[in-house]
Amino acid sequence: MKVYWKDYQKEIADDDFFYVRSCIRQNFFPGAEGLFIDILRNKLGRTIYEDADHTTCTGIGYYSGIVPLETTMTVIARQFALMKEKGYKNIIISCVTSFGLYSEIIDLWKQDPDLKAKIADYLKAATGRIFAEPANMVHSSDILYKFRNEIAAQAKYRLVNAETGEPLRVVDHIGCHYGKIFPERGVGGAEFPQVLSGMVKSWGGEIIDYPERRHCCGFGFRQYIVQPNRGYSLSHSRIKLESMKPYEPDLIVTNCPGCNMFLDRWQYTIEQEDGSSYGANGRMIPVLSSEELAGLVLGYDPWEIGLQTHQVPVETLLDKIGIPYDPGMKYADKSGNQIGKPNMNLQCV
Amino acid sequence: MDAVKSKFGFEINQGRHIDMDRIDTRLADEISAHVRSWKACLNCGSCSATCPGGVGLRSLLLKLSTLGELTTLDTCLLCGKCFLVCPRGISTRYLIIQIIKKRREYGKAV
Amino acid sequence: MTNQPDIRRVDVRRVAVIGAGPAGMAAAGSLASLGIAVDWYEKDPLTGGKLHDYYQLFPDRVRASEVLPELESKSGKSLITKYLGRTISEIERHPGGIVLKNGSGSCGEADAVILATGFDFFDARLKEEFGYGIYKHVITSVDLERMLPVGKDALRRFGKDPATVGFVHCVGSRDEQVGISYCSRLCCITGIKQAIEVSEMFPAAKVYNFYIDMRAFGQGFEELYRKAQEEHGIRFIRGRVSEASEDREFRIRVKAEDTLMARPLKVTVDWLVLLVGMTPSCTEVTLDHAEKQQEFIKPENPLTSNAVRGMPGVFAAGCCTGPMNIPESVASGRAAALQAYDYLTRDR
Repeated sequence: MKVYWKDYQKEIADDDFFYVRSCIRQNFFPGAEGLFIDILRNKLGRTIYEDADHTTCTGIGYYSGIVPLETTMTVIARQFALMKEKGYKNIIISCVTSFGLYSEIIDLWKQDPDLKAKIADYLKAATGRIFAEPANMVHSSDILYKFRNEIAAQAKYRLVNAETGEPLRVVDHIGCHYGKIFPERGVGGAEFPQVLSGMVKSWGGEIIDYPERRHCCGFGFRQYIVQPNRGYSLSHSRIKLESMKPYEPDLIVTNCPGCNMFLDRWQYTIEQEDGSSYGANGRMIPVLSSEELAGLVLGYDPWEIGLQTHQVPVETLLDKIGIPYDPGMKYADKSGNQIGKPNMNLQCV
Repeated sequence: MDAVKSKFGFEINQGRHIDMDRIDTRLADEISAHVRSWKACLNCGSCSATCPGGVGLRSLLLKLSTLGELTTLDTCLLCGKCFLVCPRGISTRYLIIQIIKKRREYGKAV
Repeated sequence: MTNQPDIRRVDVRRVAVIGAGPAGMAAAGSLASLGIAVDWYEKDPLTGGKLHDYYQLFPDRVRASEVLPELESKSGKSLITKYLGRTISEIERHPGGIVLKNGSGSCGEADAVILATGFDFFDARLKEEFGYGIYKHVITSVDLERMLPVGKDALRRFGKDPATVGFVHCVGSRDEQVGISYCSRLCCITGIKQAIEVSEMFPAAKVYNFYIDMRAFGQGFEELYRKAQEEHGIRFIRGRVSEASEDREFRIRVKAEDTLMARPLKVTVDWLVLLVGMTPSCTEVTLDHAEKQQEFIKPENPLTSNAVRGMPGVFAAGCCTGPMNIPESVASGRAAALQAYDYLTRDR
């Protein structure tokens, strides 16, 4: 139990991955997961397989008190069964909450083998499948952390202000389910996780430590899902954003899709409530997930990877780094037809 | 606030935490300058337990010293039982009189 | 001829005292007073143990620097041979006596041994959430004790007096998360004493002590607690600190629970002092090839004997048996000396 978390190294597999997607990330940031798969296959030369039959882990339903625990366990067992059938032992999970839920379930099965046997029976009865626990289970940001130096070696851009030469000021926010429930499953433990700061440092950015760094973004599920209670969730995002403000960051990076959505969306909502803004000069701070950040440094086109779906516009960030983009293509489809654009005029730092 | 409520359907809550950096303790400081022994309070609750008037004196004094909030003492009989039982010997009856005085100064009913 | 024990008969016997802190000083001095020759081993180049690191001792705030010579004078007798800078790593009992080893072989023998190896302070880095070793202004009570005699400049930040100071009780004590379930007894009174010392140095500063229970058990302790509240205005807040982080001005932002108000609390402090507990010394001595265990040494019978359980002739005194303050360690050393004397002189 007496472990110095700073020195803790988590075991992350090297190749032959089975990938499971995230509900929120697919819906709100649709380019991110395709980008991740492309990076692994075409930039890092690894094998990553995505099964067309895989489903949500039902974490949203479970944490909202709608889906019972046994159902969630059986669904997750099915994911493991698909993995086993295709011959994979290493799983990459796109959503941090999902990652936490898989970890919780494996822990519950370890404490209660009868429960695990019962779930195996349910799965067999419902689908005829048999499952096996993965040998290695990581979140997608762990993979990018592991290969951060390989990515840095291939990077076309660095997280540096192209004009001044100064490193970009980056604040990170790590999802609660990543390292707070099972600290041994997070790189760096519960209090000072390093999965995102490690990446940012190898790609040239400067990581800023801010007082509310460990605070939750407020997503929750149960309170968020009921509209009148949503304000409680937002109050936590506000605490975080207020804490980041004095440091005037250029960028927020996250690993959890829910946190990404929250910090991206609510800057506008909070501004509507009381006029507060959190970036320098009264502007908003762009929010990127770790795969989107990796994509940018590797030189992918910003609109191809879906950055137009972010509420806080990323153009000024791209200008700072010196990444070229075609403003005309932002709201155009593949054939170049304009598909309409949001009627908000949001300024970012 | 109403803009958000009507547009989005919810209000953004304020935090519940006590922000010690922002609390104004001058009121409690003025009263405890008169009744120094108040600072020795342990929050044991003997006073609340014995009060025949049902005054929650322990939490009233705690809220006053921590938050600077002054609440009502209207059921206090000034019987002095709280003073009788206080293990730290705090002059609670005298303290209550000082609090009532302060409330009158601020023009509030006791 | 009366049946008096002939003290001169025991002159040839020797007792090894391992450790020269307060308990060791008391044990060696008492044995010498009783006419027993003492081989006194200490790993540091000086006697005195941790007394060298303390400033003012609770509850009366006598200077440690005054207490030390007093204790040393009672242990500076001709029957005592000092071996400073020597570490004993193992002792082995044989029918003829006890052999002392230091890792490269046997280095001494004795007829009885008193272990007075003391304690270590809890490593505050293990309580990651407080950021000790990461944030400059998070310090331990041990660090603060060394800073206090230096004066105001040691605690001034960027030339300015600190406006707010926080103390966290129970760091590494009563905490299953670090594998320590016991109470270290002396940290609460240390927190009270240091809060008063800081408040005297900087009367305008607000001082907060975050505690779970206030353990002010000794003579004069409760009175010092009351003095801290009434005369110095120290704010005692019942509740654990959950995390400490640094803001732009390198002040420490503390998050805690105020259990009496039943609300979370945040406060920004210039210094956060962690009151670290006491752990068994890691430079301990292996006894009779036993497995090296990091535990306080258990006595044969807490009421009647300081002998180490299962090891007649080997006695333990002071903090190696559990958290103790200085008067308790001294008394324990004297008691062990008397029992060692009894052991050597009784008819067998």
